[in-house]
Amino acid sequence: MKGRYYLNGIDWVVQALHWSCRGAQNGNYQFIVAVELSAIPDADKLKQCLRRALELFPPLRGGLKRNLLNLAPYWKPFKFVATALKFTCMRADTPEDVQSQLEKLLNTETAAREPLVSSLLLERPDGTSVFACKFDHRIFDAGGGERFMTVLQKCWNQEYMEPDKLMSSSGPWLNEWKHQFECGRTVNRVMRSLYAQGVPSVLYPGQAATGVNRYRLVHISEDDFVRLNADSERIAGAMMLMPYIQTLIQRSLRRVLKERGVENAFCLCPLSVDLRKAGDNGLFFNHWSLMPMYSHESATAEFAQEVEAQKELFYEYMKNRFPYCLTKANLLTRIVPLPLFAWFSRKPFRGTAGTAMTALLNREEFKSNELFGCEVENLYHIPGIPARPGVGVFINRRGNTLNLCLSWLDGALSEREAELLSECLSYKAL
Amino acid sequence: MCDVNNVEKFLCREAALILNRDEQSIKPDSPFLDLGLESMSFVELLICIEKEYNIKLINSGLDTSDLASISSLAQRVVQELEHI
Repeated sequence: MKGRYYLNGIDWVVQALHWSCRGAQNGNYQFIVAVELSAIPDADKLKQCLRRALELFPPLRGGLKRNLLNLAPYWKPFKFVATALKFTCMRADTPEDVQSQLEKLLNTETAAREPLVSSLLLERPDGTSVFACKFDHRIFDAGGGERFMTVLQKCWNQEYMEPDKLMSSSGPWLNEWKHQFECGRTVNRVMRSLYAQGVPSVLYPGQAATGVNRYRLVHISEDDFVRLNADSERIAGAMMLMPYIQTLIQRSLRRVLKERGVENAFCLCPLSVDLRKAGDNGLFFNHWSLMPMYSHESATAEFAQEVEAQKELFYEYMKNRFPYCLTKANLLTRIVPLPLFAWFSRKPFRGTAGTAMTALLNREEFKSNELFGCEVENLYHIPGIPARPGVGVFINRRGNTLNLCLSWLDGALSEREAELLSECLSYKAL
Repeated sequence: MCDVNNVEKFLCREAALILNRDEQSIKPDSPFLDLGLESMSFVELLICIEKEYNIKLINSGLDTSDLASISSLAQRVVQELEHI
């Protein structure tokens, strides 16, 4: 990295989430990108290529520091230790084995001074494989995780790379104070209006959660995706897939809440959105923000009306530049010590963080059909979920299909509820 | 009165800004789906339209025919302006 990378507002929020997860869960605030391959790549060559990526990119081994003069937090790479690479290759005979190994990877904490990426290659008896990379959210967001696959592919092909072009430095953001406060005011207004809506209904039962992340993958096939798209255009209008899917998620969550006996559920689902512009090369750190999408059970009997309300909400947040304001306003919070900020950040939404985290990665950051000389059959994300809210739905697009990953902390959903949610979200039952 | 050509020029310019592309690469007859817009970037474009022409299109029943090209969206904008 040529210059220092000073953390932006969302990087700081992620640091706070990392702090919370480290205290309460089996792992850091991390996520997996899993790639299903048509063959089994050479494990030794793969190991070499991971090692090369570690050598090329110092941020992969680093930690948080504060500038002594202005107290702005920045990322400081550690010295490289060649033996620290974490890569495991093993057999997985059944889909259950794959799921259990991926869950194990997601629930493994990264030790201090270890690289913030670790990998797993699962060889299946039919000659196919699953390559999974676990990323620490402090230096990778979902889009960056997918982009890292391109880096690994280039390492595999022994292509020349200019690391500096992929590693952005950034100043300490100690200017434009007035603008930052104005953004803070916008965020406060939205928070106040959310408070007026009531207390969000939660699925997370507090102490019942063990801190172990679980997941279930729902693959929406090409045929089902065509149907979903056609329904979305008919009901929500053209190019409104995101609000349409958000409505489907909220209805599914409300169905589970109703089964639990929650009347007039208020479903609050922070939706993470990628703020990368087309052509933006950013690989590391966080380029996303949030929109607190919500709906009430009582007010939304008709599906079409609910979709319309979600579109309106989506539009208003974009018009008020809420996602942008949230990142800017959080620049002001970087002065607060991390433990205090982690505690403070649990306070909004009356300590619940909402009903479930949601995300839709609509743009494919890794588009190639080939990885490590094998055909890519599918690529999906498995997010680790912080204890609040304890449930998350992450969707990523792969060609003309969708992968929908329901992720939860063990105890936050029963097996039956996870089954019901998966079924609702599969689009077949709707 | 706003004419379609002016609206087309405006939409091409704004779409280029949103997509971080050269304005010349976006033509009025460019199919919307090929531009690379998705829900979020499309909403950004609708917000630009509201700011420029004071019309809100988000829940106005835009369908696929309105989004066949920049030109067809421009025509829809002009129609909406005529109804004001």
